Amino acid sequence: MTSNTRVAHSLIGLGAALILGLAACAPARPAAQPAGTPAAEAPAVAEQPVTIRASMWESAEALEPYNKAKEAFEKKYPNIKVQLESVPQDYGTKLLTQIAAATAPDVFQVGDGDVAKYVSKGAIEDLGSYMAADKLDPSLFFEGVYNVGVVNGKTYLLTKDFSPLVLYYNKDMFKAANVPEPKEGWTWSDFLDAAKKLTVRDGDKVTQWGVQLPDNWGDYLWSRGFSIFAFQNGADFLSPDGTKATGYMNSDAMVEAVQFYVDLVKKEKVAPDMATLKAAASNADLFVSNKAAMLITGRWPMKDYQKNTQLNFATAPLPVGKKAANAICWAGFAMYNKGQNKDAAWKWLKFIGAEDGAKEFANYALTAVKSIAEEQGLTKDPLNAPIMAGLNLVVPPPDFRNVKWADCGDKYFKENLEKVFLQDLDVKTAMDTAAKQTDDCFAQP
Amino acid sequence: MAVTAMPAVKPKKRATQAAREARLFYLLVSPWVIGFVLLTLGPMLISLFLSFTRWDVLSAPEFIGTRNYEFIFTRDPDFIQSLKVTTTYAIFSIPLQLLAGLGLAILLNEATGGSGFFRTVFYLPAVVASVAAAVLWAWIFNSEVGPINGFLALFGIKGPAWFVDPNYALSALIIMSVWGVGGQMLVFLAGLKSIPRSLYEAAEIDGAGRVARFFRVTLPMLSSTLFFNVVMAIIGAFQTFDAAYVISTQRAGTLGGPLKSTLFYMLYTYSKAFGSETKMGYAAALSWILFFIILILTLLTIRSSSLWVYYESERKR
Repeated sequence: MTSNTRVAHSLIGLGAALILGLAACAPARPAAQPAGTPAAEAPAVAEQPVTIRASMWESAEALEPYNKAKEAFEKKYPNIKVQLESVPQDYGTKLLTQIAAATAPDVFQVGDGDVAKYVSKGAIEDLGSYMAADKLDPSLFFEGVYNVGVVNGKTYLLTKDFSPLVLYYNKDMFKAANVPEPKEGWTWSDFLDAAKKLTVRDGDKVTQWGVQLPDNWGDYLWSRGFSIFAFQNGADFLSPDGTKATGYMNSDAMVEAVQFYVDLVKKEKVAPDMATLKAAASNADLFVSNKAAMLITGRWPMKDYQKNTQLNFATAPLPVGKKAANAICWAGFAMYNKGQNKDAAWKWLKFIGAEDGAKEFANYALTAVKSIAEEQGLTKDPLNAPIMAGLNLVVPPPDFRNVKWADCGDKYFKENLEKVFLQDLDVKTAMDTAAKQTDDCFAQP
Repeated sequence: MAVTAMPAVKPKKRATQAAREARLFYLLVSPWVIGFVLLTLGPMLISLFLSFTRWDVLSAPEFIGTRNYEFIFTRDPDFIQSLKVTTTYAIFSIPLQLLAGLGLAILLNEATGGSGFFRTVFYLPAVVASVAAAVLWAWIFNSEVGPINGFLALFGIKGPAWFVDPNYALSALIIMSVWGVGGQMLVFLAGLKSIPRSLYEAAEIDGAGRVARFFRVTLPMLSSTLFFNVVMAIIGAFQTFDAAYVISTQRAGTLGGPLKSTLFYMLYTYSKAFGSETKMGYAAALSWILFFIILILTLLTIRSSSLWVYYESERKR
C-alpha cells in the first residue's frame, strides 16, 4: 500500500486516502490567492445542453481553481454544464466503485501511482483521436511531464499539476551557523556537513534540526521521497523493464543510498525520526515553524511559506550524489471511456488541461503548459527556477513500469525499511528480503 | 360487508379474517424482509461467491475455486498477524470494558443526586464520531504534548511514544477502547434498576454485607445483562476498525503500523479490498473467515451461558 496524503495536511487526522494507492504524492495544496480572470471567447456552436460530471479529491478552498475554471468554461460553452463532485475522502475507493458500476464521472483526476492501473483495466479513454482532431500538439507541454500521461505510446491523461522534489532552506539559520548556502552542484557530503552544523542541541534535546527529509508530512517510509537518494546514487528499485527487484532493490548502490538516508536519522541524528515528527504539536512541518534548517519536499507548501513573514527561505537544487537526479509527483485528468458525452467531456478536459482552465490550476501548482509557465516567469523566478531546473533530472518512478509496484514493491520496501528504523535490522538484510518478497509478489497472479 | 351475501357465514368469515391477518403480517414485516434480502442476504451471498474468485472490481470476477482460502491459511503471514493483534485486543479490552461499564453503572445506580447528569456525561463518548474520537486520542497519547505523558512526567516517569512505538501502540488502543463504554454502561444500569429492592432487603436481614450483596444478589441478577454485553463486546472487538485506521494512518503512517502492531483483522481485510491492487475476492474470503470466527465464539458463549447466566424463569431444582 502506498501511503500518500492527498488531503491537505490540515486534514492530517483523516489520512483516509493513504492506503488507497491513489496518488503516490501529495498534490499541490492551493493557497487562497486567485488571480487573472480568463477571457471569455466566442460561444461555441449551439448544441443540445448537456451536463458532464467531474470528480476530484480536493475540497473546500482547494476547489477554487475548479470553480473558476468551471465558471469560465460555462461562459465559453453555454450548452455544457459542469457538475463538480468533490470526494475529499476515500477518493480512490469511490472512483473504483463508480467504475465498477459504470457510473464514473466523465472526467476524473488520477494520481501518478494509479495511471497504469486504470489504463490497464481499460477505464480511461485514449485521447489520441481527440487531440488529433483539435490539433492539440504534445509539444505544447513540458515533455517529461506530459509523458506521465502516456502509456504504450498513447496519450491517456493530460497533466493537472506536478512537482519535482526541491530543497528549501532557511537563510537565517544558514547565516547564524555560518554555513555557505547550498548552490548548484553541491554534494551529499556538503549536504551532510551542512546538516550537522545546522543541528542545534540542548543536552539530549534537539532544538533545531539540520534537515527534514522528503517525508510526506511525517512518513519516513515514503518511497517516492526516498527515491531521489537511490537515483542520485545510480540505483533503482526495479529492472528497466519493471519485472525484477532482485539485483536492483538490493544492489550495493541501493543499500548504500538507504544507509545514507537512515544514517541521517539514526547515526548522525541531523533529521528528526518518525516519533519526533508525530509528536510535533499540530503540524509535522518543522520547517515552517523554524525548527528545521532544510526541508526536502515538493513544491506544494511554497505558497504558505511565502505568506509566512517569520520565515526567510530560499530554494536550491537537490544535492548531487554520484549524479544529479530527481523524482516527480504528478496528477492528471482522465476521460471515462464509458461516459455518455465524450465530446463535451473532451472540451472540458482540454479546457482545464491545456487552455484557459489550465491557467487557474497554474495559479496554485506547477503547470505542464509551456506557454503558461513562461507567462508566469516560472523558469526565471528565483524560488521556482531551481524547481523547474529539477525537471530535466527526473527519473521515472517504478510505478510507471509495473502495475503491481504499489502492492508489491512499495509495500515490501516500506515494510523492511520500517524494520531498519524501528528494529535495527541491517540495511543489506532488509533490502535482500524486500527484493525477494517483491519478486515473489510479482510472480503471484 | 361482503359477508351478507354468503350463506355459510361463520367459517368463511374466519378464513377471510385469517387471510387478512396473514396479509397484514406480511405487509408489516415486508420492509424488514425486503431490507434483509436486498441489503444483507443478497450481498452476503454475493460476497460468498466472490470469495471463490479473483476480482479487481474493474474487470469481471474470475472463478479460482478455493485458492483464496488456501493462500490465506498457508501462505499469508499478515493473516496470522492480524488475528494475533485482534485476539490480543479482544482478550484485554473486553474485560476492561465490562469492568468499566459495570463500575460506572453501579456508581450511577448508587448515586443520590446528579445521576442524570453523569449518565449523560458517561454516555457522551459513545455519541462522538469515532474518527473525531481517534484524533482526540492521538493527541492524548502524544508523547511530547499529550496529557498522559504529561501526567507521568509529574512522577518523573518518561512515558512511551504510545501510538508510534510498536510495543505500546496496541496497549494505547486498548486503553482508548474503555472510553466508549457508555452503551454497555446504560445496559448495565437498566439491568441494575430492574433488580427488586426486596432482594437486597432480604439479604440485609440475613446479614449480608456490601460485598456479599454484590456477589450474591447483584451479580446473579445481572448475569443475563452481562451475557448480552459479553456477546456484543466480542463481536465489537473482532470488528474493530475506525480508531486503528485513523490513528495508524495519521500523518501518512502505515496502515496497521508501526510494524503491523495494530493490524486489526478488519484493517487487513480493508487494505486487501481497497488497497492498490484491489483484491476484492481475497477480502471477501477474509470476511467469511471472520464471520465464522465470530459465529463460533458467539455460539460458545451462548453454550456456556447455562453455566453462569441466571434467568428467573428457569429456576434450577
